[in-house]
Amino acid sequence: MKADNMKYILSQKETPEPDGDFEDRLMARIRRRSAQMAVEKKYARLMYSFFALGLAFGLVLSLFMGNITIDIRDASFVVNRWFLQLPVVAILLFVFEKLYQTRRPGMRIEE
Amino acid sequence: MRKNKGMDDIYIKKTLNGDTAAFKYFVCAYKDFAFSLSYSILKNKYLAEECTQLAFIKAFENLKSFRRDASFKTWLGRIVINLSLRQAEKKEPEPVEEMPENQIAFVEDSLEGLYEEERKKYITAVFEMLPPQASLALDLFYLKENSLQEIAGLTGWSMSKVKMTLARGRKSFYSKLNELLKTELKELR
Repeated sequence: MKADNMKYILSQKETPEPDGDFEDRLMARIRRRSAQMAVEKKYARLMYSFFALGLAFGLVLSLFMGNITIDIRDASFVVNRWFLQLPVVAILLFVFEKLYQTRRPGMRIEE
Repeated sequence: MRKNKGMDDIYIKKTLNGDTAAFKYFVCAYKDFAFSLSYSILKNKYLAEECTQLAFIKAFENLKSFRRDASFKTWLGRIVINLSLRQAEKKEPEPVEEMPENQIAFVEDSLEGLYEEERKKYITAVFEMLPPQASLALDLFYLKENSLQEIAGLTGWSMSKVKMTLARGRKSFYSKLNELLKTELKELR
């Protein structure tokens, strides 16, 4: 009975409807987004290719890199080459996360 | 419902094959549903229109990842609700008092004594004063006739939260209505 009363009362509530050109405006936005997505897809391929190329080049280069020796007056410090790779790994992870985000188009909904 | 699902599947395939115009089917079929959901949360026509449009665009962008374990309507509804609730969070919610169960019948009687136009005006005004989650729950349960489980699926809330939000929403609705009717009565005197 309670539910029926509430339903009856709420059914008298006035709800506006979307404007008459709602569909046209929305479809125009969707068409624009679709064209934008096609361009993004094309550039995404280029982006991944250059990322892979840079990654491979960096890996090869790091194999040929030796340890670094720093001389300060009479003292001499040797910095291991693998230790130098840590910032590079951090940057790679950061970039990888950004690349992953580009695979989720919903992230860029704000126009 | 099954017929809808079949049609939905056909147009999903068409859209995924690059036919952007095919998406218009979803816009035509679900725009009223999506708009009314958003409006029940935001209570502002222009904001609700914008949120509904963003939800459709988001659905279009992510159509490839739509898993089809729920219907397109449910999936879209979830997007609309999330976007609208996020938008509603930007506004500071007003505290709403709840009304004891025994006074509800009294308010219902007072409402019956009004002219139809006035009644509609008060009911609409009170509904717009409710917090977003309460008005959404009332709209889904009483007007769109969803079951508690369906509401839980659409909103992502637990069953106990759905029940609590509905009960609170109902009491808040009557409490606000009572306040409004009292104020109007004083002004008339």
